[in-house]
Amino acid sequence: MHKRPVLALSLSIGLVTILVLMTVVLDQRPKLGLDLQGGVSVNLQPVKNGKVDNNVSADKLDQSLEIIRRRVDALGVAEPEVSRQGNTILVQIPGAKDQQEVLDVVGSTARLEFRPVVGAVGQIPKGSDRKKAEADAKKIRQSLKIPEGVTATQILEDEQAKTPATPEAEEGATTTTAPETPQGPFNQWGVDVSTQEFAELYSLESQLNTQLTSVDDMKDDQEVVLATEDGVAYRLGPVALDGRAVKTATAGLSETGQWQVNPVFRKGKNNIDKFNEIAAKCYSGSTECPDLGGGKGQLAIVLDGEILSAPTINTPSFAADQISISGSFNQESAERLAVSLRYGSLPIQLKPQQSETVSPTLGKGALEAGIICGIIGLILVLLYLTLYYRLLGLVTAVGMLMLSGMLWVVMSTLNATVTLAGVVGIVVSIGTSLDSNILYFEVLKEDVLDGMPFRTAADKSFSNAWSTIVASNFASLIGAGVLYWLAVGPVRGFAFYLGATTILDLLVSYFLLRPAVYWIAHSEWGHNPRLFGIPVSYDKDDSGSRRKRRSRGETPPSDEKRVPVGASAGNDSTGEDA
Amino acid sequence: MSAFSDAYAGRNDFNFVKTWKTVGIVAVVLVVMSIGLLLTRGLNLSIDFEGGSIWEVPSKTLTVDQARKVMDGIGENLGEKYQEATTSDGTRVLRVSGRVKSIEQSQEVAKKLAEAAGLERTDIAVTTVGPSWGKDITRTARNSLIMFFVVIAIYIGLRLEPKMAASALIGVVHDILLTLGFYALFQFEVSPATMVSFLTILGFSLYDTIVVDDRILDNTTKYGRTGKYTYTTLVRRSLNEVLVRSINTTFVTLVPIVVMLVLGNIVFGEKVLGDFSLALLVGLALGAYSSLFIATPLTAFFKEREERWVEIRTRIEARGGDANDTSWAALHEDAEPQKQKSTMPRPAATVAPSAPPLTTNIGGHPPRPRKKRR
Repeated sequence: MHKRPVLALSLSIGLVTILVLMTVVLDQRPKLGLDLQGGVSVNLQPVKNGKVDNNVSADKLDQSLEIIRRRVDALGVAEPEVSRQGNTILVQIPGAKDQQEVLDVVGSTARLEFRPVVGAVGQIPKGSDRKKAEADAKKIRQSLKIPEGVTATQILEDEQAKTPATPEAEEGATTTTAPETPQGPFNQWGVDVSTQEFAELYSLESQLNTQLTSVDDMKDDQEVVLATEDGVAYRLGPVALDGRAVKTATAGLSETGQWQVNPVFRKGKNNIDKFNEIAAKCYSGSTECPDLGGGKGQLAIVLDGEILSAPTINTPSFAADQISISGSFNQESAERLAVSLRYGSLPIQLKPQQSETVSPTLGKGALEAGIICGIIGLILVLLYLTLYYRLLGLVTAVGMLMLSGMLWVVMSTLNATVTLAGVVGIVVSIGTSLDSNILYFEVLKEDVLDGMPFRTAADKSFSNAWSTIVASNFASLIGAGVLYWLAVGPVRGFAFYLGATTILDLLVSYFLLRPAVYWIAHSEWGHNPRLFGIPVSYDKDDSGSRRKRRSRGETPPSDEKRVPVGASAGNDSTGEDA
Repeated sequence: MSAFSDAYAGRNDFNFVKTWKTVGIVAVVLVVMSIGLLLTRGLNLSIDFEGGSIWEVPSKTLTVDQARKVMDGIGENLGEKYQEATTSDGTRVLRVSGRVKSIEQSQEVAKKLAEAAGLERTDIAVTTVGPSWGKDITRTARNSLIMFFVVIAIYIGLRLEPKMAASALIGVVHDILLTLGFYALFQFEVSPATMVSFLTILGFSLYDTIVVDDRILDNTTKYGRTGKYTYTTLVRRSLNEVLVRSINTTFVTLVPIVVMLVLGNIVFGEKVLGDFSLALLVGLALGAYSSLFIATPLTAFFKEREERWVEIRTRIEARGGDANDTSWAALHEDAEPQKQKSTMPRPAATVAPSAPPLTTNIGGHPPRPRKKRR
């Protein structure tokens, strides 16, 4: 491929350009790490009897992670990150300022409860939906001319209070005169409550005004208003039984091929018996678990104040292991519910071991300083290389540009986190990447000084240098791999960028450096090695391929009749003096 | 001819071997001193390793004395260090560190400090590290270090030679010990950022060594079978061949780091950048030096004891040659004709009889032997 350098070069540069453009168009970008963006980070580790417990299974850590992620999501901040690094669960909440709040949220133990559904509230609008709902409500209020501060509920109550009793009794008595049907509106604001618009406003407002019970305010023996992940709210009765009653739960396919969840309850008075007690009530639709339209009552499964599922009870009594929850599950949601049922509470005790608040200004300063330093450093280095290796130095500059572009693409595509350690990793790997160039240039120079024609050397030397480049870069990769695998925190970010840049360096060396040098060597410039920082003087008088050469010394006196290897290709650049 | 133009033209033949004895003594002395310093003075470990909190109070007015008063009010000797710093956007920050027992206590301190400075509690950036966390990162670092050593040793052993792996690792240990010694001597703070840098040093030192070793391997394959060169001679040749590359690479690697140290730390006042770059600067310079002057001589030392190379040495001496002369004969003979112009008389007469008749210009480039398959 390098034998057709123009093709190879345009392919490489074209590909990188397309990738970079795609990244820009798709507006993908790496996210800033907490140390650069500001926020709160907390490291949690499993503890047992007050001591760090390192013998916790990965499974349990993953379950805890899932639960903590759910809680952090409930905080409603943008892009929180909950990840596991070895035995540690790292919670990073960008933009958060109050460390205490975060600690409270991640530190508490989760609770799984079963509560009967006593009423449906409906969709609670969140985020942009909420704004839209508010705007809609406002529009309707304007069109109905409802004064500020008066709610639809108040109007409706007033209307009902002032509406004269319908003269039911008279209806049967006389049919001659049409009854004087009282014409509304009767409420003091004069709003017509019978319109479609008013009904809409009423439902909008009741949704907007629904206050979900916060996890802290939830009492076992009281009614609560909670919502599902999608924001559908229900009023729920007191706790019927809690997560301790569930022995295990699995997700599986039903006979009809639908995903379902099969919990298995523990046997005994506090467990399956209690479940059957509430199930019977729901099945019959008693007041504790009323029928809300489906003919039977629903029992909600609540985790940490969020309704995971509210299945309708279709059987009055269950055997402990014969329960299945079916509905509109897919594999993922079914498995998630099964995990939550199994491990409603954190399966292990976690304790914050490290917590940190970073102010955004501090981080921003470090990032800017890091970037400026990197750029200045790179410019200085490229200047030096151009002075030393001339045209080859320029090739390096192009190579670095491509490398940076690719690095940006990789970072953006993986949505990688840029931390300060990462920035340092990048600045450092500038060195390793440049080394691949220097290695090649030095081997090239050496070969030319040894007598190989520049054009032949441009390609032959690469294979030589390449094996060294691979050998040394591989050592960097191993290092990065080991660090990434084992380390936590800043070291990990560093390792990631070191590894990524090393791989990119190998690619750039092979697909850009090689054809580029080949191409330049075969251009007009290729006649003059001095343009490449190679101090070669040719002997004009020497015929053919014979030029002044420096012996590498393997040539003892007797060996002098050997034919130089470079001779065959030597006519490339013979006789041309600079 | 100056050393630079020699090197630029690839005619350098620096006598590394001559330096080895001195370097060896210096290295041993420095390592012993470093260990001594580590044992006596110890490292100035940041709070991340020992547990405690750092509070950063962005206040124009809060003085160290006021802060100390607040800290003393909460607990005896709670405050440990008080530092004033200015961030890049010109905000003055008072950095207080101290040993608190729990995250709750740390929050209490934050609240009191905020009150004293007239700020909100959330304005204060708090970093708290539990005591076991510090132990944990130390343990992780140690584990990854051991793992790293094992994997790299296996890699170099397979890709190059086991003896090279041993020398490379000794070289790395030397670098790390000296860097730690440097930190112990000046009592610079060792933070997790510093640890990252230490790890980089490992990588770079090995990286450099591998480049040298790769060349040595090449040269021993190429010239070894001629039986004319001792291992040391080939090592010296290889070192000279990679010298320019080593200098250039080290230079271009150090430039961004020096920029980061000077600009980042002094101009921008970013402490973390400074932490990183200082360790890197010391370590990288050391790494480059140790690859050329520590790891490689060790390889030569080990290899010269191998039967094959002992034999070559004896044979050279039997032939009346000087096995201890490690200079690359061809280069020195070659030096003069480099200047030669075609109009000048060929300098054959000036060349010693034993030397190759350079003027014939034949055989300058020996055939490259096939690379050993690896």
